[in-house]
Amino acid sequence: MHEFGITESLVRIVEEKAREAGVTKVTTIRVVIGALTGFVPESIEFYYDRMSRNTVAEGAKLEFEELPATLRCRTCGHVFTPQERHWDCPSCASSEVDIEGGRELYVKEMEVS
Amino acid sequence: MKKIEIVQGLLDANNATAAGNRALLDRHGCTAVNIMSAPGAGKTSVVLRTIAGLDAHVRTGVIEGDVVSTVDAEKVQGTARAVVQINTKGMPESCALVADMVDAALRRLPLEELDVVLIENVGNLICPTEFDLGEHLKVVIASTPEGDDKPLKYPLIFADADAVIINKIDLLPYVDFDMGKFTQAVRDLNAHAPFFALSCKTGEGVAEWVAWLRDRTRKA
Repeated sequence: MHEFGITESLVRIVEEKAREAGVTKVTTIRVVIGALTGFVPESIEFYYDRMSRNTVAEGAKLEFEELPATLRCRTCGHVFTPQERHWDCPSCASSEVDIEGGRELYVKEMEVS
Repeated sequence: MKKIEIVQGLLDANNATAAGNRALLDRHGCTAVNIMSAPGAGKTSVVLRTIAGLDAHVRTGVIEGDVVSTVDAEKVQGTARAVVQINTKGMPESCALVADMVDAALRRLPLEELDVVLIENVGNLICPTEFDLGEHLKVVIASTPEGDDKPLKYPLIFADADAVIINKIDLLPYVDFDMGKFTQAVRDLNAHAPFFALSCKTGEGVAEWVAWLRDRTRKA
């Protein structure tokens, strides 16, 4: 598991934003995770439960939004979402691609009451 | 109920520390290399061969990342100019080095006396991909007994590599490893990384890798 540090960041960011906005209770936090990252939502939740204790974020619901992998074909420039393990360009069948999206990891927004 | 937009990266803190590490290395003219592979692919052997190959020209320090033991650091002790061990057991993240750990290790190295810092990451092809350490070069080692399909299983680490080493080529007659298949699978994801096929056991191919690395150091 390597979600300790990023969950710590998550709690810190939410606390800071809540303080800036003068909010006392955060109810929902939306986190965006790209399909290609190795981060596991369940592991983030596991750490979150402990780390958010006695903070403004305690008890908030974590919602994860997964962004798909997107690849750009190096031959024809076509941008596509690959099927599992099959990264060939559906337009020209080239196998040479650059990764464009799917590595995101950020807090998008929070709901407060 | 009210919505507050945030949009802030969860790796920003790690990336900021990594940027600090890079700046510190740059001030000392040190080139840092993040060496990654699965367990047993030969990271420590490559480190030893690299130090020996660079010896006359370049002063090398090593940061050894490992979950528990100090065996790798002990092996490197006599060869490198300076070695720092990081044991990740008991640390929050044990499956990969993160920028904070490297920050602490860099403070214990005599950077003014070094040209190259080799960072041996924890043996793992997934977790190290996510964490910038402040290195200048990412090098991935695959070894022939692991098979030629590693890039298909772990695409990100190969996509990000600045160089790919294929170790244990002395075992090619005995294992199912198709060099053409492997290099094409990496090239599909990574247009630029050079390949270095070598054997740390026999020394074959090591000179080409060392020459490439020496060209990328700044005090040499």
